[in-house]
Amino acid sequence: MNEPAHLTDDVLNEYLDEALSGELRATADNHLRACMTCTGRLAKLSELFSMLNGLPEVPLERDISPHVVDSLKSRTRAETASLSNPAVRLGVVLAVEVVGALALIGLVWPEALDWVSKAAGANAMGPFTALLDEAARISYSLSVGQPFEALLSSLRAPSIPWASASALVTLLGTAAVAWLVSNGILLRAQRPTSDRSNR
Amino acid sequence: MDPPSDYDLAVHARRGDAEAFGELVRRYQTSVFNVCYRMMGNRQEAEDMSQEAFIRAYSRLATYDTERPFGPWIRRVAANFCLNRLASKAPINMPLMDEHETVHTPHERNLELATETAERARAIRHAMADLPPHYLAVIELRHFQELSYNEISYTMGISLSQVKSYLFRARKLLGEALKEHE
Repeated sequence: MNEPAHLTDDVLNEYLDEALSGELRATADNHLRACMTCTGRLAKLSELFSMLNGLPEVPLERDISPHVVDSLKSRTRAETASLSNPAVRLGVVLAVEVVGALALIGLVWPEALDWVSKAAGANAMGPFTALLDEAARISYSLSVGQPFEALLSSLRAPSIPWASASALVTLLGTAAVAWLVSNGILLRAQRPTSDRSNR
Repeated sequence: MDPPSDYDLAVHARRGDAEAFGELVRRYQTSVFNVCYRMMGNRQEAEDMSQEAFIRAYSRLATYDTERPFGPWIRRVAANFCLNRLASKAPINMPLMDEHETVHTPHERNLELATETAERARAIRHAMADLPPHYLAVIELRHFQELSYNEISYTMGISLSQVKSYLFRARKLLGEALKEHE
C-alpha cells in the first residue's frame, strides 16, 4: 500500500497561519491525524511560532514625544520662514507694487504713453503703437475680429480722460513709498518676536 | 473629562496641531519602538527610527483612514520605514542590547525561568537580525502585527505569492538559526 504524500512546508505554514481554505484545511487535518511525521513537523514549526509570538516587548526608557513635537514645530517654522524672511517679503511687496503700477498705467495708457513719449523724445513709443496696429491687422486676418479690435482701441483711447499722466505717476510714487515705509515698520516690529520663537 | 480619543487627536493633527500628534506619539511610542527594535536590532537606532517614523507619519496623515484604529496604521508605517532603511544600507551586524531582555521580566518568580526566557528572546532577536530585510518585514507584519497575507501584500507592495515565499523562507532560516543556537 502506498504511503500518502506528506504535507509540504508551504501547506504547514499556511495551516498555522490559518490561510488554508476550508477544503484544504480539512484534507490537511485528515492527513495530520494519520501521519506522525507531518504532526512532528507541524509541532516544530508551531514551536517557532510560539517563540516569535512570545517575544517580550522591551520598554522605551524615555519619552520621545517632546522631540517629535519639537521637530514638527521647527519644520513648520522653517516652511513659513521663507515668507517671514524680510528680504523675501520685500521682494514680494516690490513685485506686487510693480504689477499694480503696470495695471493702473494700463487703465490710462494713452496719457502715460504721451507723457513717456514727451519725456523720452519724439517717436520713442513709435515701435509700440506700430505693434498695436500690427496686432489689429493680424487679428482681422485671423478672423478674431471685433472684440480684439475693441480691446486695442481701448488701449489707444483714454479710458480715464480726467487723469493726467503726471498726476498718476505722482500718485503711484507716493503710494509705493508709503507702502515700502509701512512694510519696513512692520518688519522691524516683528523681528524681536520671530527671534524669540526661534529659541 | 475623558481624554481625547485617537480619532479626535488624529483629526486635530491633520489640521496641523503638533501637540495633538504629540499625544498620539505618547500613546503609541512603545509599540512603535518595539517594531523598530525588532527590525533594526539596536536600541539606539530603534529610538531614532521611532522618532523619524512618527515624523514621517505626520506628513502622511492624509493617507490615514480615521475610521480605522491608529495603532496598526502607525506600526505599519514604522515597519515600512525600517524596511526601507534596512534595504538601502549594506548588511551590518548590529550589537544587540541584551540587558533589556532581563530587565523586562522583573515579576518572574523563578529566576531560572526568567533567565531562560531572556535567553530565548535573545536568541530570537539574534536570528531575526540576520534575516534579509524583506524576510524580516514579513515576519514583523505577520507575527507581531498579525496582518493577513493580503494585508502584508498590500502594505509591502509585493505579490501574494511573494508574501508566502518570503514568510516560509524566513521561518526556515529562523528555525535553522535557532537550532544552531541550541
